[in-house]
Amino acid sequence: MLWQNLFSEKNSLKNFEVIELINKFKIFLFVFLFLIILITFGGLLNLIFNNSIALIAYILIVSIIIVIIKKKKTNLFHVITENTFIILTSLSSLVVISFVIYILTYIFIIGSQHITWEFLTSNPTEGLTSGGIFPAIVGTAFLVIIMSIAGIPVGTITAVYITEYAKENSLFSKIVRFSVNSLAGVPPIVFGLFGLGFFIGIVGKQIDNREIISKYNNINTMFLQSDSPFYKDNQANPREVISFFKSLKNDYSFETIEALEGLVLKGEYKNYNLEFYIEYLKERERPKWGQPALIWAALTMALFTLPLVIISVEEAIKAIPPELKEASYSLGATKLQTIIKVVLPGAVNGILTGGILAVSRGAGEVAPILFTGVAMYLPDLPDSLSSQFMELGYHIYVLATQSINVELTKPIQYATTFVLLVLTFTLNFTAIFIRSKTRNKFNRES
Amino acid sequence: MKEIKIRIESLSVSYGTKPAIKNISLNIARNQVTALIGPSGCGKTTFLKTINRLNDFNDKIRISGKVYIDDLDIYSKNVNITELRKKTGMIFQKSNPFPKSIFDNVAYGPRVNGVTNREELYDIVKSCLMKAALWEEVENNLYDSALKLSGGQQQRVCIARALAVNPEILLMDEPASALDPLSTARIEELIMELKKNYTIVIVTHNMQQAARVSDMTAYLYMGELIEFDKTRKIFTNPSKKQTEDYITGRYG
Amino acid sequence: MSNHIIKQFDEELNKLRSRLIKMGLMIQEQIDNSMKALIHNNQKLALTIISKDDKVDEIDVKIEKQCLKIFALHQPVAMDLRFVISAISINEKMEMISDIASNISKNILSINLALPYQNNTHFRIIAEKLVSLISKSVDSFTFQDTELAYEVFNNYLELKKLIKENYNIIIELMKQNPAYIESFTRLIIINRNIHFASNFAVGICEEVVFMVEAKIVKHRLFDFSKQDS
Repeated sequence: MLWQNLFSEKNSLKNFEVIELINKFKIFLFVFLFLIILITFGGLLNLIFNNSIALIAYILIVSIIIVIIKKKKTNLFHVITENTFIILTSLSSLVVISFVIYILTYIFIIGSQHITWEFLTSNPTEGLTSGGIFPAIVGTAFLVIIMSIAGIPVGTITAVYITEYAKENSLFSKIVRFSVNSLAGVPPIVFGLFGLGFFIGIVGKQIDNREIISKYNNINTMFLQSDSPFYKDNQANPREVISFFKSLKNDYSFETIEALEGLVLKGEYKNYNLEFYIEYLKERERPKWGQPALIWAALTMALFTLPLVIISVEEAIKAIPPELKEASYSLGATKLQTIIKVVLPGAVNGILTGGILAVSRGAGEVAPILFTGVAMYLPDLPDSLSSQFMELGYHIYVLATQSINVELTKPIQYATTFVLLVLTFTLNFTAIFIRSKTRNKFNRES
Repeated sequence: MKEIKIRIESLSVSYGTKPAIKNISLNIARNQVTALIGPSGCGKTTFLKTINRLNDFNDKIRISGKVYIDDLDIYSKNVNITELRKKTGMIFQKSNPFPKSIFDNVAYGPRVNGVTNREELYDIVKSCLMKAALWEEVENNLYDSALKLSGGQQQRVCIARALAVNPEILLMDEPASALDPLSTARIEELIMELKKNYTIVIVTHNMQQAARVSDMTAYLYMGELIEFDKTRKIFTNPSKKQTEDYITGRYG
Repeated sequence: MSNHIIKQFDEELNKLRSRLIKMGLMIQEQIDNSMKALIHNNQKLALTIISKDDKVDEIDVKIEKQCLKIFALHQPVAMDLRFVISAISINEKMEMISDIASNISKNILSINLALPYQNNTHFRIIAEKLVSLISKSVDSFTFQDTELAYEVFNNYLELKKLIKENYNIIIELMKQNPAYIESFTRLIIINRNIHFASNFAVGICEEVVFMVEAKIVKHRLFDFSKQDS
């Protein structure tokens, strides 16, 4: 054949084999694609698995296809024996790929039908059975932004510390690395519980307590103001007292105000002194920070995605050729200057990649925010860090399990899933794209 | 007799337990080119990095003996290391410009040392690129990435970059080993020009280069200084047989 | 002495060395024969000497080309450099010596066979000494022996004296036998040529000293006063 004429030396036989291999690969790629479509949408999978004859027939067919495509006059038996292993392994990968494609295609096809501009920009209505997912999108966005602000700088600085400052193999860096790796393996729900117990139960509560203390100093004075009914020392009439209590309605729950008003109407309020009312109100103080809130959910998420950021940045820093740092030092730069001017700019792609991957995980994971801030339905958009919020991933869960009318919510479910998938995919591909673009930054030399 | 710029006394350097330099004493004269030749792995690069204390970053390094630059012990406690490193510019074997523009590369040194005035920086960059015989080739694309230049040009950017912090000594580690003959010749010519104002120590594998470019040559073998003499003498009539065997290609 | 890593370099140097040694032997033979021809007035021998000069010229050219090749391709340094540079010079000098032998032979051919100078014993002694001088200088190169080279320097001085005396003797004879003035003139020329040959022998030894000891002894060991004959 022509090939053999071109390569007449002994070791160019290797070249020949490599080219053969590449050609084989191309062939399989075509066969793959063809069969993926068949399997995914044709039920061929069922046939093959249930029928060993079909399996053998599959191998035969693929072999014949190979022979036809290669136009080589080898005998079929030879091709079959040589390629059986490859064919069988290709079958297993075909199965996996087709499952994935099947699911994705299904979701995409059904979900995209219900995507409209309105859907994306309006609130859910009628018990989540119709309307849009706008607040979920906004909530996800807020969550992800705050999470990034909290997580990326901390992750970057940690990675810089591990690679630049800590001594190689020192006990400290080993501990840090171990912690990072362990964190990476902790199930997300544990993070949620941690967030609940620590951020909400301890930190939030502490903040609230402090606010309460300062507030009740004020309330004390408010109760003793000249226009307060208590000022007149039990001389105030019931109407004045009720309106006074009503004025507190923004700060306390409906039930509390009702109970206080009840006391007045029953005529019993005079039985209790100022301290009683203050204590009563104090106990019914609505927690502001000691409850699920956007900030706590974001911080929990930041913690959850921290290992990702650290590892990405660490990898990027390690990829910087040490000669660049040496050059910087030899010009009289200090370690800090070198880090700011050479290391960090060089690690930017790692920071970006890590950040984007963190964001994509953050947008998708639901467990960490379950107890720390997400809500099933809110009429308003979150307006402060202490507000709760809606989120895409949780919304899907809610639609799937708490729906009052499955028929109506199903399309919304698919559509929401579609939106979430599009978001995640876009983020992941952007990360890969950025990584590949900047990978050879240091190697583009002539 | 030229005055001595760098005085090395009984210098020994080892990585952990592995010795890299064994008891070397050497005087490097001012405004001359001193070449270090010897087979690979015999401590030449370590020697250079000891002079500008780049070895400090390696935790396992053990140094004994003294290195004096202008009669100042550079390993004494009260030495300002960044000042020392500015004084001793280094050019590396593989050119390593930062992935920044040509301008930013050369201006890096002055910038980290506090110069912020745009005009001042421009003047420095221009004069250094001229000293490095590169100005005419890049004056119209100063803001392009330095990585787009050819190997020889990149190396000259690195030289300009080193010159920008006003060093007195230039330490060159095989500066032309990755370059084609024409670029190499340009770099050598540059070295001959630069030696008028700078003390140059050059490590090279290429003996002809050492012969062409240097005034004094030191032959190092396995971390030991075998012979150190005028280049002319080393290449016509070296004192030690070991040296002769190496330079005539009988070593091995 | 160990070998070069590049074998070809070694081979080239060895080839050069052996060619020079061969040439040395050839010119030694030429001088030897020319002195024999002189003493015994052997015109046949003189003719063979003249014809052999071509061979020496051939080898001269080969050696020169080889030195150029070594310089261009192998960039020799230190001892190798000194060797090759000396080789060029020694080559030249050896060629001149052979040339002189040929010249002496040509002059012998023009001498009248009836010339009464056999009583001149000086020529016999001078011939012996010249042969020994040339042979020593060739040996000093062959064996890289600077001892021999220094001996040659000393022997040269003796020979110089003898040659000067011989000149006077010939002049006397010329005055006594004016009929044979042409032949005696030839003898004077031969005398002079012998002097030149010894100069070149010394030159070879100077090169040997340079090659081995890296000392340049040209013009320094003693005064080279030009003799007028």
